[in-house]
Amino acid sequence: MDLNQLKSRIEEIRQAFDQAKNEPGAETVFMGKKGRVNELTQLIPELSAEERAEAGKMINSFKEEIQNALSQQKAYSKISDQDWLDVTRPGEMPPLGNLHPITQAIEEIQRIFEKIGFYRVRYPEVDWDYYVFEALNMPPNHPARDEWETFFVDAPNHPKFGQMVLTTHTSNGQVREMERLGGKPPVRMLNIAKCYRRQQDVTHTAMFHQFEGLVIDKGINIQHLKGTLDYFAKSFYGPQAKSRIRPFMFRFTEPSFEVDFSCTHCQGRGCRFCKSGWHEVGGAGMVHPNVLKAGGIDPDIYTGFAFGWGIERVYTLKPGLELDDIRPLYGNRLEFLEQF
Amino acid sequence: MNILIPDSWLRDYLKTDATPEEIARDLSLSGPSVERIIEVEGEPVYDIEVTANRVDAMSIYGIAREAGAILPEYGFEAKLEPLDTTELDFDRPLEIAIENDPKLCKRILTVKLENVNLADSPDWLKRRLLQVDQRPLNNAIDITNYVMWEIGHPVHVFDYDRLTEKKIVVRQAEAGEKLVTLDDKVHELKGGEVIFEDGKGTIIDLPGIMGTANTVVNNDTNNVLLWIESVDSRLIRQASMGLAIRSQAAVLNEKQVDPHLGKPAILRAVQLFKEIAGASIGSQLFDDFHPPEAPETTGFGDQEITRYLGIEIEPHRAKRMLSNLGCQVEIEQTDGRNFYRVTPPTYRSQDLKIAADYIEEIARIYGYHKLPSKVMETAIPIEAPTEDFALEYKIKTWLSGWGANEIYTYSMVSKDLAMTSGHNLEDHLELLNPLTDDGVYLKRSLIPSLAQVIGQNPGQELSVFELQNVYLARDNKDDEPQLPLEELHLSLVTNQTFGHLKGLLEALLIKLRVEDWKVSPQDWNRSLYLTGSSGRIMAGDLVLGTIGRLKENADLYGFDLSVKALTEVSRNHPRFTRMPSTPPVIEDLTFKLPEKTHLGPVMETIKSQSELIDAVALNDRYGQNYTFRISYRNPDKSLSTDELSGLRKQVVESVESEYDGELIGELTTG
Repeated sequence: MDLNQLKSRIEEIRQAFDQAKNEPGAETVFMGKKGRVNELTQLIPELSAEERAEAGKMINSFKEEIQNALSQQKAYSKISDQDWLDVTRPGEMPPLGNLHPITQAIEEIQRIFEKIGFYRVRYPEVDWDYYVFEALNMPPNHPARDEWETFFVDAPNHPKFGQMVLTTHTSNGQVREMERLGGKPPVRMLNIAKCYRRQQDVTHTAMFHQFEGLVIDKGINIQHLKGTLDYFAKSFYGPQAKSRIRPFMFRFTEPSFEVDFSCTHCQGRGCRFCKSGWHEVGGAGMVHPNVLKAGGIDPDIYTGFAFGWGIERVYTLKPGLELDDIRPLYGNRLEFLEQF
Repeated sequence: MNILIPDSWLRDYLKTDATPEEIARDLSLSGPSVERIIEVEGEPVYDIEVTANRVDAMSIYGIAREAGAILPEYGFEAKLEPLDTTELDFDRPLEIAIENDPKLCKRILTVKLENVNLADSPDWLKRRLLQVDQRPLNNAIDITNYVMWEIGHPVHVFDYDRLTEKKIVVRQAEAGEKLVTLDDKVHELKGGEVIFEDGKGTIIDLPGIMGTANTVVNNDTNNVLLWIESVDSRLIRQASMGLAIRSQAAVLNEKQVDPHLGKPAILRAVQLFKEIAGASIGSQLFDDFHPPEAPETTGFGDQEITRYLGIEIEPHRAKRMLSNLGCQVEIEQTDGRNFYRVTPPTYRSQDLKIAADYIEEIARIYGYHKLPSKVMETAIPIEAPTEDFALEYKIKTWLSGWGANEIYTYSMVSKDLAMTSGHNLEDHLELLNPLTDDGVYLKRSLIPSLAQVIGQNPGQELSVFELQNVYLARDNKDDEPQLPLEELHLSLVTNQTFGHLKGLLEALLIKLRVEDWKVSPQDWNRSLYLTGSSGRIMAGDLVLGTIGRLKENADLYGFDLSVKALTEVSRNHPRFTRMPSTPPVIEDLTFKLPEKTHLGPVMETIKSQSELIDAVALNDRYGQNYTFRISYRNPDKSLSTDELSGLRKQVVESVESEYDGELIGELTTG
């Protein structure tokens, strides 16, 4: 190896670089640690001692030359990138997980009620007959219990509280909440929980969710229930939404109401989704004096109202959802859940 | 319960200028809910939901009575026609010996009818039965159904001549006695059911529920015994549920039909027998009546009404509403206040008992929709429970933000799933009356269900999680049974890599600001996880949960955390540390480690060599060669070369001596 040979090697590389400089990765191939330009340095020991200094200069100046060319190239490609960007090309998405629709609904409902001073509680899902039925003015064997298709747990009965059941509604929280407060209102509870009934069809699943409001204080009357319902309807379904209460019967409220929300499609005029302009969502009422007594509250001093509805029901009435079958919520097919 | 009410039939008893649509609208707002109007046999028929406490309204007459009280408040004319209660004029006594037990049966009303011309009912009657979804059979049976629908009291008819012993004894059945109902089904009695027998031991009726085949009207019937009884409603319910005979009669009778209704009902039936079956009366009307106590009078002041409604109702208006419902109302005025004394009619004595009951009547007839609507101004409670729902939601949001999918699975699981929970089957709570085999046991772990969900969604990379209760049976306390412990868990299962799972766990614990946590390898006898592939997640001495590779499917990895433990160790705000004034010195050290070396302890050891070691991370792995990226920093001043080389040496020595590691390359000095 002599200086001439080195020169011709440099020329080879120069030509190769001229051809390849526009390609991506050219910088690494030529100027990388093990790139072609650096490889030249390894040739230096092969030269005679006198030629080595000169060879070093040649290689360094070649390095500089390539480096400058690359910088120019970069500057040029920057300009070209600034000229043109394909904004239509697909992006690189992060993985998209999702929250279950019931979680989303619960969060929204909780936020709505928190604004007007409700606090959320959690009570047993597996509870004694006493809290689920008896304290709610439903004595054993009462026909009113037929409405609740109850699951019973294979466990010994409690001497005072009776059988162990899966809660059929969130109303078991009513007397429990009064007990927690030692019978001292004010109560403004929101109980959201899983409930269970022995039924399964397009609008019923053996496990479902309810939210229950309970308000007790001096001077609480039906107008406050109506106000709370209207506030919820507007917050959850939009400013046009209205609520309506109609007579009904529950053992644990007196008077008792059925609650309707105006149809979000026709604003109450009647359409193919609602037939009558209204959707029935669940029950409500003024707390029965016997239930207040069971919770240690004097019904001559305090009054209260309660409401309890299915989350699946209120949620699927949202415009655009109109699910006529709630079972897929618990069917766990991702194609379904990912839509929410 | 829903009841069908044809409009034309209703108008037999209700004279009103309201249209069917107006009736439907106003009844729904102030009374029983008219769910829809259907067209049957060319006429409008109301489909009305009547609540279980209002058996008095489960008839044409009952709905007419309701409408008669409601429609005037909406500006319509509405007049209720009275029921015909003209006594029968007949002398000859009944030649059947009846032995009643008043404890079982509060009333027996019966009359013999002769020369019944058994035939099809006339078209008008058949049409009405069809309108209410009852199948016409023959005039005798049709009349009983017709009267039950019209008046609301079940009516029965015996073939008089088939009552061969001419004796009817009321008693409770012994267990094991048998009877054949008129639909030819054999029933073995459980004991306690009220039955009629003929004095010779033969059961001749299951009163209030269904007739028996041996005494019902058949094609040869000539004379009938028209019959009404009031059997104790609780015994009716017990028998009807126990024998699974849910006839319309049973459904009404178990709700305490007013025995006073018996008289107009039987008189109406007699009238129809005469009219359409050419029958003649063959005996006096037998009436053995042990009336329940007279309805009680309830008193309340008008401030009670205001307490519930928030508005005042004029006394004359409240009185009119209650009177139209059949109540007797007296109003007493003292000191400008009105005091109501109200007595309900016999047919409402069961559901009108306390002041709140009457206030409900006033409020609904007034119209709930006319009441103002406003959110309460009362004090907002400050003693809320401390359960951290916000934290639960944050956890779910983070995990889903990192690509995991939230799932809700049923709380009850199949035997197969329960067996893979890592707990013995007998340590699960079991349902006495499961609906399906898929839901028999209450969950001990969320992981098997989540693994199942991954199996149900094949062909994709998935991480699924659930934040939900598991249920642990508890021992008696002070000799009293305890409710199960409902323990909130967060479980996640993935079919991606273990690294992915562990990364999610690490990220979660960082976001929750959990300090000093680690995973210690551990195996359990009965476990969700494969042997040698699981561990405990600890924060200090507190067990947060478990993690590992699933035994049921080695392609899956999962973790399970106690939400209570997480809540305990999480912090909702950071512990602030002063920003260091110096940059860290970062360098990589590569060690060859023996196979199956747990990396966690190695990294812990490196970190623990000096407070000046700020962080240790795994940067690369090639075969058994592991490159750790170590960050050295003294927050107050720059590290000197000597300090650094001393630290480096210390690290290498510790890995070499404690883990048999071998440094790859050489330590540079200086």
